[in-house]
Amino acid sequence: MTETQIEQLKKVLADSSLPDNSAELDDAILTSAHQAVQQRVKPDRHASRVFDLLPIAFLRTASLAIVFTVSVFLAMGQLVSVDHEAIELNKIATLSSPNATMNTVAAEQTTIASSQDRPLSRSNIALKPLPSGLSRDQILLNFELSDSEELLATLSFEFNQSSLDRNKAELAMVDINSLIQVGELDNARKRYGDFINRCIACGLPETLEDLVLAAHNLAIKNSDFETG
Amino acid sequence: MILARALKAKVKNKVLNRWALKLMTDEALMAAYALGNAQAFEQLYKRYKRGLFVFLRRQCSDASVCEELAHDTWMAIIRQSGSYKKSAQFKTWLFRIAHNRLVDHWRKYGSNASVLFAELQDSLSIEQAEIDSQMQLAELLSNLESLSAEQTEALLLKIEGFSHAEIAVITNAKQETVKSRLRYAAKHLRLSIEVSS
Repeated sequence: MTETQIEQLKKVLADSSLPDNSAELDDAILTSAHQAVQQRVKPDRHASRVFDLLPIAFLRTASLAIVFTVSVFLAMGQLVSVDHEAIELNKIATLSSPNATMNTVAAEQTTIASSQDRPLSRSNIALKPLPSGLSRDQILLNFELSDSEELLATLSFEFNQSSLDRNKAELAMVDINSLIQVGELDNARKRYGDFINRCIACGLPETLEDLVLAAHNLAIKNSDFETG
Repeated sequence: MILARALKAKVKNKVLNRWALKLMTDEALMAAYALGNAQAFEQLYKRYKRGLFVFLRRQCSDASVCEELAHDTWMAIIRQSGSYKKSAQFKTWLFRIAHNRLVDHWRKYGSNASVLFAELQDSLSIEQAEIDSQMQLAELLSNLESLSAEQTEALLLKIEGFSHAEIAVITNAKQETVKSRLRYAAKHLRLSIEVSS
C-alpha cells in the first residue's frame, strides 16, 4: 500500500460521519479522573488546609522564634567550647609553671610559710591619709599594732625572703609593739626606721603611723570578712 | 475591590493555565495528571476521545459495546497514571490498551469491521467525484472487507498516523509482522482491483 493510497483513505475517514461517543461516557470518565486525583492528593490537601488556617503573622513570629532559639543555642555552644579551651589552657599553664598556682585554701588558713609562696605587690598595703584631728602620737596609742605574725603575713614581701629576714621582721615588730605599749613612741619610730632601712625590699610603709593605720584597716577588713 | 482583583487574577490564571495545557505535549499532560492536575487529563481526553472511539467503533458492530471498550480503556489510563513513564509515548500507550480490550472482545464475540466498510461506502458515494479516479479508490475500499481483523487494524493504525514500530508496540507484534500485514493488505487490494477492472 502506497503513501498516496493511505493519504486518500485518511482523507475519506477524516470526513467520516461516524457519531461521537455519548455524553454519559464523557461524564463518567471525567468524574472518575477527578475522583482519582482527589483520592491521590487527599493528604496533601489536608496539610495545605491546616497551613491556610495559620495566619501569616503567626508563621513569621514562629519562624523568628525558632531562628532566635537556634542562634542562642549556638552562642551557648561557643561559650562552652571557649570555657573548655580555657580549662585546657589552665591545665597546660599549671603543668608548665607550678609556682604560678594559687592555693586559696592555704591562704585563708594564713601561715607565713604559705604566704611566702605568693608574692604580693606594694599596693596591697591599704595606705590612708592620717585622720584629721589626731596627732601622730594619738594614732600610735589609739590604734594598736596587731599581732606581728598576722601583720607580716598580710603585708607585702616582694622579693625572695629568707627565713633570716622574716625572723628579723618578727623581732622588729615585737620590739615596736612593746615600745608603743610602754609609751616610748619616739623609740618605736626609730626602731621602725632602722628596720625599714635594713629591709628596703620588704615594701613596708615609710612611717610607723602608716603601718599602724594599715594594720588597723586590715584588721577591720578581716573582721568584716569573717562576720560576712 | 480586593475581591474583584482576586477574582480577576483567578480568571487570568485559569485562562493562562488552559493555554499552557493546550501547548503541552501528551507526555507532559500525563505527568501533570499523575501529580494531581485533573485539567491535564481533561485536555488529554479532549485530544484523543474521538480518535480512540472511532478506532474502536470501526472494529466492533455494537455502539454500546464500543462505549464499554472506550470506558475500560480510559479507566485503565486513570488507574495506571501513577506508574506512567514519560519515556513511553502516551498515544501509543493509549491505543495499546485499546487494542488489548479489542482483542478480548474479538475472542468473545469475533471481529467485525462492518461499520468501517459501511462508513467508507457512505463517504465514497458522496465524495467519489472529488477523489482521483486513477486511484480507483472505490474498488480498493470495497475489497477491504476481505482483509483479516489484524490487517484492518494495522491499516487503521497506519491511517491514524502511527509508524510501523509503533503499530508493532500497540498490537504486541513484531515490526516485520506489521510490515507483512500491510504488504499483504496492499497486494490483496491490488489484486482485487486488477480482477475487478
